[in-house]
Amino acid sequence: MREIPHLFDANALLGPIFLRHDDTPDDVPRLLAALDENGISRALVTHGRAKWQHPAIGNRLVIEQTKGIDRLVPCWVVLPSITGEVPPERELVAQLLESGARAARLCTGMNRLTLEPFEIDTLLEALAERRVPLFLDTNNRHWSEDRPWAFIEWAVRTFPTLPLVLLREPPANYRTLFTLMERHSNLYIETSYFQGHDAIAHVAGRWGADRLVFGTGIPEWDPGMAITGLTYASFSVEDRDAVAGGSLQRLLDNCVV
Amino acid sequence: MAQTTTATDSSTLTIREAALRGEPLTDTFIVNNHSHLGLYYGFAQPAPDADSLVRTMDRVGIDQSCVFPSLAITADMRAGNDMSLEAAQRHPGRILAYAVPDPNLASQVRDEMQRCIDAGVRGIKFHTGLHEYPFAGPGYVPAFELADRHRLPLISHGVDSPDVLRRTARAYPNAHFIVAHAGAGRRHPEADPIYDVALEEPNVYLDTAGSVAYYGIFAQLVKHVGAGRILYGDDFPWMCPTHQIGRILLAPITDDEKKQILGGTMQRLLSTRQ
Ligand SMILES: [Zn+2]
Repeated sequence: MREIPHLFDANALLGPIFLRHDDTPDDVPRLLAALDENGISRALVTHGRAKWQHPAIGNRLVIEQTKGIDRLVPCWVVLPSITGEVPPERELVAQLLESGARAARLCTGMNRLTLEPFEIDTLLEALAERRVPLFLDTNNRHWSEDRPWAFIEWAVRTFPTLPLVLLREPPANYRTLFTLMERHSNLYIETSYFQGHDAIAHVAGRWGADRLVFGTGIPEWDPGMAITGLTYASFSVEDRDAVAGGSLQRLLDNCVV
Repeated sequence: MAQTTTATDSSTLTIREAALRGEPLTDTFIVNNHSHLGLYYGFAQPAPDADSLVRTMDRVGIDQSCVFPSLAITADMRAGNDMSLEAAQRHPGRILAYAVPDPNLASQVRDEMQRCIDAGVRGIKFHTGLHEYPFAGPGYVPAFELADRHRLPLISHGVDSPDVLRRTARAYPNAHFIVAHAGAGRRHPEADPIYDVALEEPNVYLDTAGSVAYYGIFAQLVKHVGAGRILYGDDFPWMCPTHQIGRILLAPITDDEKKQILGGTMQRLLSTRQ
C-alpha cells in the first residue's frame, strides 16, 4: 500500500481573509488544525492582512505569528518602493531574508500593479539577485479569466535567476503556458487549480516534477481537490513526493541568505 | 519522504486515509454523473478519449462514468451522441452513454432522442449555455417527455431560474433532474434559492462538477440539503477526476454521506429506467 506523502503547501494564507465565514481558519491554531485535518505537514504562509490590508502590516504579523512554529514558513507580499510604502527594493529583500521569510508574493490586481517593466523591474532584479522565489497571485477565481502572459514572459526571460511560481494556474492555458515552460526553466506551476485531465503527470513527464509545487489555497479554497489531484496523479511515488514538497523545499533552500 | 503508517490492508482504510495515500476506492461504488469526451476547440485537453477516462477511473476507483461528448454540446448533436454510444459499447458497464439534444435543431430533437433511447442511453444532458437556448424553451420538450416516460436522469447546465426548475420538475415527475455544477462553487448554501428547490422537490439533485471550491462550503451544503441530494460529477476531460473527487473524499462529513454522494444515490436514479 502507498504511504501518505509529506505535503508542503506552497499556497496558504494565515489570519483573516476577505469574505471568510464562520468555518474559515483565521488564526494560527485554527490553521494548524485545518492542515492536520487535511494531512498537510507544512505550509508556506502569507498573512491575510498582507494581502487584504497592506504588506507593511501583514509582513510584520506573519513573522511574529509564525515564530517558533517550524511547520509554517513565512512569505512576504512585495511592492515597488517608489511610494515609500515599503523600503527600497534591495533593502526590502534583505529584510525579508533576515526576518526568516524565504519567498515573496506579488498581488498584482489587488495592489493595482500594471506589471509594466518600468514599474516592477527594480523589485524583480532585487529578488533575482538573492534568488527569492516570487509567487504570482492574480487573485483569480475561474479558469476563463485572463492571465498577464506578456509580463510572465518578460519576467522569466529578463531575470533567469528569479524562480517565478504561478499560483492557482488554471487548466485552460496550455497553449500559452507550455511554450513558456519549454523555454524558461525558472517558471514553475503551483498545482491547486491545475486540474485538467492528467495535467500534473503530463507536465512532470515533460519538464520534470521539480517544475511543479503542490499548493492548496487554504483557507480561501478547499484543499481536498488539490490533495487528491496529487495523490491520484498518474506518476511515480518519487515524482509525487517531489511535487508534494521536494520542489518547494529546493526553491526555498536556494535563496542567497 | 513519506509518513510512516501502520495500516497494511487498504480495505481497513477510511475514505480519507485512502485518498491521502492515493489508494483506489475499491470498496465504494462510485458513479461520475458528468463527463465529456473528445477534443474541444476552446483549450487543449490531454487524453480526452474513453480509454484514457477508464484508465483514470481505475486509478481512483470510479466504477461508472456518464458521458456526453463536447461535440454533442456544441456543433453536432448526432455525431456527438454516436461517440457516446461507441464509447459505451467499447467499455460496457463502465461508460454510460447519455443523449444530448440541440434545441436549435428543434425539428430533429424528438427523433434523435428516440434513436438514442432505442440504442440504450441511460440519461439526457442539456447545455443551455453553449446552445444558447432557454431550459423552458419548446425545443427541449421532447427530451423532457422522453426522460419522464423512461424515468431517466436529466442533467442540465443551466435551468433558467429556481422557479422554472421547480415548475419543470413538477411537470415531469418521473424524470430525475440534476442541476449541473450546482453542488460546487457557490458561497452561501443557506441563502441560495436553487437549494430550496432541491430541498422541496423530490426529483431534483445537485451535481458536484466544477473547478471552483471555496473552503468549507461543501460540508455546509451537505448539511443544508442532505447528502442524498448531491451527486458526484467531474467534468472530464475539462477537469480531472483525480482533483474533482477530492472535494468529497476529504470533506468533514461521514463516510456514509460520502458513499451516498459518490454513487449510492446515482445508482438508484439509473436503476429506474423503463
Ligand atoms: Zn460539463
